Amino acid sequence: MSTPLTGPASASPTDQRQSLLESLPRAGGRSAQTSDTIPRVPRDRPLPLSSAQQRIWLAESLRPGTTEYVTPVGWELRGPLDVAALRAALAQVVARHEVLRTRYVAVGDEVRQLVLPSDELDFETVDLGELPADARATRLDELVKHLARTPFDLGSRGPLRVRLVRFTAEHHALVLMVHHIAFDGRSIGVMASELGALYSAFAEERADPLPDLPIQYADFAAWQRETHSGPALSGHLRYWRETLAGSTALELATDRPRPAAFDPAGASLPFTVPAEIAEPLIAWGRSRGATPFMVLLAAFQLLLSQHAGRTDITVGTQVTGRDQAEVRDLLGLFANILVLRTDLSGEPTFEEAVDRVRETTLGAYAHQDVPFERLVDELTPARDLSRHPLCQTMFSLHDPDSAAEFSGAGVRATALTTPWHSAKFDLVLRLTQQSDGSLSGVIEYATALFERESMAVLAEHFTTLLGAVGRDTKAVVTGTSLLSQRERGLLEGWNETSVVYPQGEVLHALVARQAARTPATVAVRFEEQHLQYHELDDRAEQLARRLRAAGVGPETVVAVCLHRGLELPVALLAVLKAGGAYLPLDPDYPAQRLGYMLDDSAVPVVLSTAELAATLPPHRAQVLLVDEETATAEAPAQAGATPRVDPLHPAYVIYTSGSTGRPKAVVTTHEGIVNRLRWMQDTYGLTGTDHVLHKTPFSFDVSVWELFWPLTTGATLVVARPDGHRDPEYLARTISRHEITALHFVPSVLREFLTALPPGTPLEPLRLVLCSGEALPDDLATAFHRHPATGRVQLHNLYGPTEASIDVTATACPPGEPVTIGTPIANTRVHVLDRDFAPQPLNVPGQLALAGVQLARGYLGRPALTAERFVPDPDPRHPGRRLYLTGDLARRNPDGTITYLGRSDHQVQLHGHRIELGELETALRGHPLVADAAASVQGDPGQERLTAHLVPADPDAAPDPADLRAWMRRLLPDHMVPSAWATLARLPLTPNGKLDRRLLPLIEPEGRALEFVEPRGEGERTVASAWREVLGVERVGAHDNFFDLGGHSLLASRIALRLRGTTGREVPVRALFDHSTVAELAAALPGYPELSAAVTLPLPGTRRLRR
Amino acid sequence: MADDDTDGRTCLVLRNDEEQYSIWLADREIPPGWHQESTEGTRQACLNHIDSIWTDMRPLSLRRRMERESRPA
Repeated sequence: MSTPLTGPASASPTDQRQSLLESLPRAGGRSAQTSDTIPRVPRDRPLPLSSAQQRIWLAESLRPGTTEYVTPVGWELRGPLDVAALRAALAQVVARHEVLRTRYVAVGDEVRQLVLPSDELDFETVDLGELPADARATRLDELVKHLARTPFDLGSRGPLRVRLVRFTAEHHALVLMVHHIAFDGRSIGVMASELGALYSAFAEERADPLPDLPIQYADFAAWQRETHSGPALSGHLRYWRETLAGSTALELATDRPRPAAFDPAGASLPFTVPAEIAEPLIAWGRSRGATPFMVLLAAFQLLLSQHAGRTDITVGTQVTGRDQAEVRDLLGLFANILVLRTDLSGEPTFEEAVDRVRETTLGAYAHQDVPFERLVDELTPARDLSRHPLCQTMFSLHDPDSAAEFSGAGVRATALTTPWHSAKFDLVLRLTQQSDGSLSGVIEYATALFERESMAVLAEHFTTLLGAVGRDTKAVVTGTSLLSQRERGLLEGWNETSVVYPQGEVLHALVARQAARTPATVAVRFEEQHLQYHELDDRAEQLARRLRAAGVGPETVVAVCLHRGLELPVALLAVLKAGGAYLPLDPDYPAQRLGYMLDDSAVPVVLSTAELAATLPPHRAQVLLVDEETATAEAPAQAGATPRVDPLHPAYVIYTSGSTGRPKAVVTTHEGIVNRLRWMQDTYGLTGTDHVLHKTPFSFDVSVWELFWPLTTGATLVVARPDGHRDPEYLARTISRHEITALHFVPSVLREFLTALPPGTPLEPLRLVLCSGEALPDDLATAFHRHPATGRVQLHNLYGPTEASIDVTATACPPGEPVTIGTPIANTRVHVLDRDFAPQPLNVPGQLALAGVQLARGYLGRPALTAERFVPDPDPRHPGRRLYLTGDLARRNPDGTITYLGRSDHQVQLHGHRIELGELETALRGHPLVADAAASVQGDPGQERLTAHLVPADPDAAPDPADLRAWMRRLLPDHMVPSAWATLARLPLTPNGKLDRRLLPLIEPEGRALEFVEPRGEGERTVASAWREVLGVERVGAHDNFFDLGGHSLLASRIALRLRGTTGREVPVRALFDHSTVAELAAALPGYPELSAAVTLPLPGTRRLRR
Repeated sequence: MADDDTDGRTCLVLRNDEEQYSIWLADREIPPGWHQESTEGTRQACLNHIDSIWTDMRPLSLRRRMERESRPA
């Protein structure tokens, strides 16, 4: 349970060259001994720093006061201590080693070593004898922490501080704080051996027994400067340039978001690999010409490969850098980092992986004479301050040794232990071969990135992996190789979600029962109108009769084309009561898209209003008008035979984006949605006093719970006006006016809402905000909790595709906790799988697959597509059941929650919309002037926009963006129309000939009108000014188009808000879509109604022009 | 199964007791509760076959319940 108190900078106390190359023939590569000798240099010349010192000095001067390089070293001293002798011994060590009495000073643009002839020893004693014995360790630990957090001023003070802590006359702790610029891991052994010899001599009143040092550190630094520059180095550098070409940072999934600047707070986790696992594997390695270092590094790199989900794995290792005999006994910084990059692609067996690691290691060793700092300078011109350059993970193997211990004159010193470290790397794995054949391991990790639990998982995976490859070295390492029985049990346990709900329930029956319970309660509110529960039920029943008369029954799909309003819930409920399933047709969708949906679904009946029905493209369905209902109240009573609706019948059918260019309709059952709503009520518990806002367009499945959760629980459904969902000001007003208690936000819209929300906005009764539809960023959750208006509101994050009845996982997001998508909900199983559908271990990324009662039946009229995405569940406990493959990447955290990691394919989630890039590309390719097209999402988080790269059919006739946009808006909903366009001669391809979206050049939103026209008049100037600020562009002309300048729906809402503030008119968000140029929008402004003062919320940063 | 890595590998058509169909790599063990249809071939051939035979996507248990109810008492 202990770690040597050596700090993060230490390398092996033993010569690591041995562990790297031990038992290998010395064929080729670098000779074991370099013949050069290091000359002494005169001290009257300027003394340069070694390259490692130079790097540390630079790092310190960039971050004055940093304690990153303060290294604690300590011993526990048992026996009667002669304090004076110990102090004299330490002083003598300082006298022997110039590096302990050196200052580092800038002279012009160079840094120099300034060696003082003598130096005071910074030595203090601390007496903890008064403390009770059990408090001493804690106090000592605090002392060490405090010292380690006290910076050194390298220009004015020496790099060593000593504290002698007294517990009793025969029990002390000797704590050295040394600066890494003067000390490395091997130095600990040198220090121990000199202290041992000097203390014994001085305690026994003998003279200094140590021989003089042949050279000093400054001689080495000068020699290194001389020999490690110029042509001697270029061959080595060439090797490293080639070896590390294209290497990128190893991104292990972290438990917390990575800080912009690396945080050196660290901790360590010890573990043991039993001898029965380690010994046979190491013996096997030897028989194959692989050192223990190589075998264990191969296992570690394979482990990282699984955890990082990639095959290009770079790990660093520290070498002592003390090949010259004359530096072996010096204190000072000689350690160097070797970068070990192994290609683990092509599913190598463990044997093959070891062979590759052997090559990697030998190559690196043969070229180790390049100081790491030189490599960094050569290879990483742009420095990323958030992580260690070139390698973020370290590995080392040590022999058991007692080099760091000493004894003499009745005192025995053993290494002091501490749980605390500072970190320079994301994580470091140190292994020590023990004499009993076991391996003692320590994982040191950056606590800003990782939780201790995750490191325990990593250690367990490493041990399990060693066991697995030991049993079969010819096996390919997969996630399964890391999975212990214990962990399998955990994974299975988290999917035990069984909850017994009443059987045979259907959605509309739940509403009908609620209506019977609370007939006079307000069920639906829309603006000034409302319906009581009995009215809702009666009207839906009447409409249902007409639907039944029109032939609607179970397994019939009825299209509903309505704006949000009082009639919408009535119409949907009516379709269900008739036994049918509803298909939402968003009236804002382009006619062509609606035509496709009507055609593809072959619905026999469309429910709409006279006005909207007239806008539908030609179709074969019978149209029933909801607004004629009262006129034809003589609806045939004889058609009223209530059909028996089975829970396996469809309840709704929703189209989602299709990768091949054809949207596909998901058929969802009553069983699924009823389970989803029952779970929701169990979890969040609505009551009759709750008001739930329905604002999600009903073509998205989130709308299903918005509509039916309140209606099945006696709460009131408040319907937002059409277009209100993207208007933050309207939403704030509506929440306040209608006393909304629960509502849904897509995270990007929540961000807009919070940004526009003045701190004092009264949202009082609001208690519950549910997010889903895209990843909820940690910073947004933080902003939500910090905002005065939402600070006391509960925030929850939910996840699920349309194919599994809205949501399948959920979690509360309390302040300060990293956001996850939580755990599976009732009667739902969620798996993170590898490509062979085997469960991935904890923290290892894989594809999310879903199972349970909420799975959709499949895709309407698409058996093959259904068979492709809904696959057999290999779990023997669920024979004959199906898994839905989501295409989402995720990992299971040690606490059972799931973290969403993105998409495995070309589907994107943008502002809450699910978009298949393939569908967009198909639409683009249909344009006569376009030969080929690639769509992508570009821009920084929070600023993402949809972009299109086109290959023109005729190189001399590039299509005009305005024309393309018009083309796309005829085919696709607004959220699928790109906002930035570029042409390319050809699309970038991967080596195997597929489109490589990562290589698509970044498009700057700069498209503008051909001719710049200065905005004219107050209206245009007002509009142009709002665009400039919101879009962040310098110049906006009268004919510039909002979308050409990078506009999208979220920005549209921001501009509308701003214009409301400056014009005092109720500018709808829609205005930006209907009037896309400055001139058009300015002309439309006077047509919008004036805002009444009572409903205007003051917005930060806006100015009212009118009083 | 939507992975590119199934390209060129032999697939099977499987059916469960609800007469729902899916595809499966031939070299994987067939999951319990699923039965092999006669078809075996490329992924696309299997999917095409499913398109031609899976004409009623209602689960079998539902079809049977509906038949029972439509029968005059």
